[in-house]
Amino acid sequence: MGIHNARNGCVLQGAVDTLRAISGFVPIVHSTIGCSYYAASGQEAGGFYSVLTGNGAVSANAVPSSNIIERQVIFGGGSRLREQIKNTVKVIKGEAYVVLSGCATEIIGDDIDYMAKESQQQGYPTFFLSTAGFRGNAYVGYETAVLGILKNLSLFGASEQQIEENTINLLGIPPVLDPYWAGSQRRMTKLLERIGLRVNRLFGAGSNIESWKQFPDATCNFVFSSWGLPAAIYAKEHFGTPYLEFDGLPLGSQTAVFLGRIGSELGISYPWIKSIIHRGEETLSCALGAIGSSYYTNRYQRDFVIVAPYFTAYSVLSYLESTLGLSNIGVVVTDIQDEEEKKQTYKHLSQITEFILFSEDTSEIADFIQNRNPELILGSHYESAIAKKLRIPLFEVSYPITQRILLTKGLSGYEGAVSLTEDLFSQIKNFKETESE
Amino acid sequence: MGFGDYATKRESSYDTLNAFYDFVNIYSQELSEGLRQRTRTFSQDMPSDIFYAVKLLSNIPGAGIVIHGPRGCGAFAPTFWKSPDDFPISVTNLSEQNTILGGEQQLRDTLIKYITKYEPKILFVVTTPPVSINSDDTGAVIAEISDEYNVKIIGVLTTGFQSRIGISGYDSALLPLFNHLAGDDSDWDKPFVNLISISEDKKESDEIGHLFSELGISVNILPGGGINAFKRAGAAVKTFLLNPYDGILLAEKLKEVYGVHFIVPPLPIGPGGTDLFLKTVTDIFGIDYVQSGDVTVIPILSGKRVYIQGSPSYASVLAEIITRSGGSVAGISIPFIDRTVAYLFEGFHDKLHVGEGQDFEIINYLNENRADLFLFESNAPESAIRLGIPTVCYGKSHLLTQGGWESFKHSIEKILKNNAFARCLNPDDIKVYTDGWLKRRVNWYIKQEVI
Repeated sequence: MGIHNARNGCVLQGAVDTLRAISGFVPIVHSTIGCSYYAASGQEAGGFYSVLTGNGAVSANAVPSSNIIERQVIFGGGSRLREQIKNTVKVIKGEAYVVLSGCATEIIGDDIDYMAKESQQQGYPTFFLSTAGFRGNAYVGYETAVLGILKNLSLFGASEQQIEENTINLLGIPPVLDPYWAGSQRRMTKLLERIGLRVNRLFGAGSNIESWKQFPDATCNFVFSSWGLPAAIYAKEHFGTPYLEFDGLPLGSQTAVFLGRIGSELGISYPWIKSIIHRGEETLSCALGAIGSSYYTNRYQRDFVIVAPYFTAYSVLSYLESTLGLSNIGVVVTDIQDEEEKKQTYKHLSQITEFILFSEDTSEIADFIQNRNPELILGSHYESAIAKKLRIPLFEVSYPITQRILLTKGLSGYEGAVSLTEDLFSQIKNFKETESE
Repeated sequence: MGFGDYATKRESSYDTLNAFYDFVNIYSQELSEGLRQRTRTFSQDMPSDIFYAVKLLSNIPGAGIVIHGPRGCGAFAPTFWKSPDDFPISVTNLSEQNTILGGEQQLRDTLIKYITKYEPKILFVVTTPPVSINSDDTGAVIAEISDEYNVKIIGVLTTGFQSRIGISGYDSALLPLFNHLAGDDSDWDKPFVNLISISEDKKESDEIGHLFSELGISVNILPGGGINAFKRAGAAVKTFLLNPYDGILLAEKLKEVYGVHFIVPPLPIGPGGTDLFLKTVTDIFGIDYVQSGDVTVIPILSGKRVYIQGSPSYASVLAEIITRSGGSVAGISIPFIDRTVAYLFEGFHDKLHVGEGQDFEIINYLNENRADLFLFESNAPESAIRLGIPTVCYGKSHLLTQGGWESFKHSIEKILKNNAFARCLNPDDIKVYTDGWLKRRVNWYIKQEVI
């Protein structure tokens, strides 16, 4: 069915965003003009960090692309692709080149895999990923890209597996699609390092080919959303790496449960974990104490609806209800498409909330919100229309975001909870003050 | 009805190139001898005709847009859906199955859903590469739904591959707009002029409209004036085409069918530009106007080398201003060159870079030929940022408004005074490009096309 104001992008765009967040990986798009340029449009709306990734990743507005035209659509674009790959390796300094197909080139049947292998044979670590946009949404693109890299590790000269004790890979936090990805990842990394774990930097600052070559050496993979699961399962089957699955990143006091579980699974000293939890709880408690009076004076306690991918919706909802005392009266899950997965998710989510909708269509979501009649919306920029109609504040937590720039803010851990509280209550306070003018 | 209006691609209609790095007189010579198309053997992505078509259509009040294609074709919607009051930009979300079996039903369902929910005055269906390759019978669905729901639905044929020139999308949108909406049935009781302003935003178009109003001339703004603006356009006494390239098809059609001649006035940028603009308009209508003699300069640019990246009209005017201010133009990069704009660069004595989104060529040039200032129109130039060159976006300054011009000048003053931000960026970021490339000449990957 058609989508009003589509928010999730396509497979190709998700793959481009994922690859661009890894230093040294160069996406080469084989498609008609504009396919990855659209990904650039999303940069303004999602998470600025990935545009100027400080370690020389390909920028949003400069993705190599074959830009095939009519002649190539009719007669085939293979030779154009060959030329593009051959010249990309001369222009862009990369450690891996990933050729991505668009809708047009898959429809016309270009043998893209062959061209990629040709480049491999010439000594360039090049591989192909099938990413035609009609195959699914951008989350599938993230999944495809991560799995694709793992399946092609041998191209990068990955050495024999050597398990590095207490080394972890973080999966299921999709760059850009989760606008808070960089900050969430950073905070989670800091938290885990405090309990003695080493986190392999797979995306963003510090990421490179080496970190991916070390992927199989991890002790365990942590999976924060279902989008990281295929990679985790692959790693289990091929590298023997166990994984732990979580319902999104832990936020606020959920961190205690999270750390407790990790400590138990990985045999980390409980007194040490307990001290970290204690410090975290103290930080959170102090912060909440500081706004205690304001909470009641400004009536921050609101009935809210959240519109977000499941991994964000679950953790934010849990924090808002169990710690901030807000009341959830509806959840819209925007990323899950598979019917079986919807059933499982529904079963799980219905333990903490009653009204659930699976949709990415802005008008359907607006109708749902209107029926629920909340006092606050946590969603994307697209929910601004219904927020304006209902004259209630909107706090943007999901893609696309236009209210602010996100550099270090993350929705994870105790610090993430404090930061979310600051921003959310500021939004409510400012809205209230504007309303009364 | 509703479909089948195919605008000739820009390469044919206006001899447009989007890959070129040479002196403008070389292009002009080739026009008489036979233009040779160029292509890039290495390219970076750029906006397609679909992007530009939607950009234009999203400026028509009361218009809904449905993009008929896979979901990714609607991914740039956040760029154009700015206000909660705007109609949404929908996408039919074709799946793999649809691309094999056809997406007509998907289009049908999406149109019905859109019309039922939003009741737009007019609805545009924009096509995409998969739909064009598979030859979906989009026209039949449009005709069917249009009749059934009594809503004007207009098909806009964009393919993403027929033309390599992004602004072909403007033509793809303007042709059906003209064919289905244009008329000479004016609901105004006074004579008026058309103002075709496509690349500018509403604030700028309105301010120029205000310049006309102050002279006592009624103005009909296209496309920003909406459906009624098109309906009355054929009754105008004259058309003012703000940029010689974006609305040229519409201007020519109005002349051809309704006898409304058009003129390209000087862009009213800064006090001098505005003075010239007003002189041009008043001369045409025999209105008394005493020129102020103002000259547009930016004193701080004296002695500075400035690189300009932007659309032809604005780039050429800024180049003149820089030279007049005692500075020099380090280089110009425009997205395309064609018959409608080549004359704007006759006074430019260096090679002109032509290419939208080809940042690798600009960084190549700037690595060897440093500039003191970089002016750009829309997308931030990674090249200049990574090289630490002071940079100002004039596109967001609303140059055509008085306040915008002052703001733009002040932005230049500020950045030349304090470029700390760029200096703090990682200078190693340029190393995404190989040393081998940075040593080559700029047009290394631009070749003449062999058909």
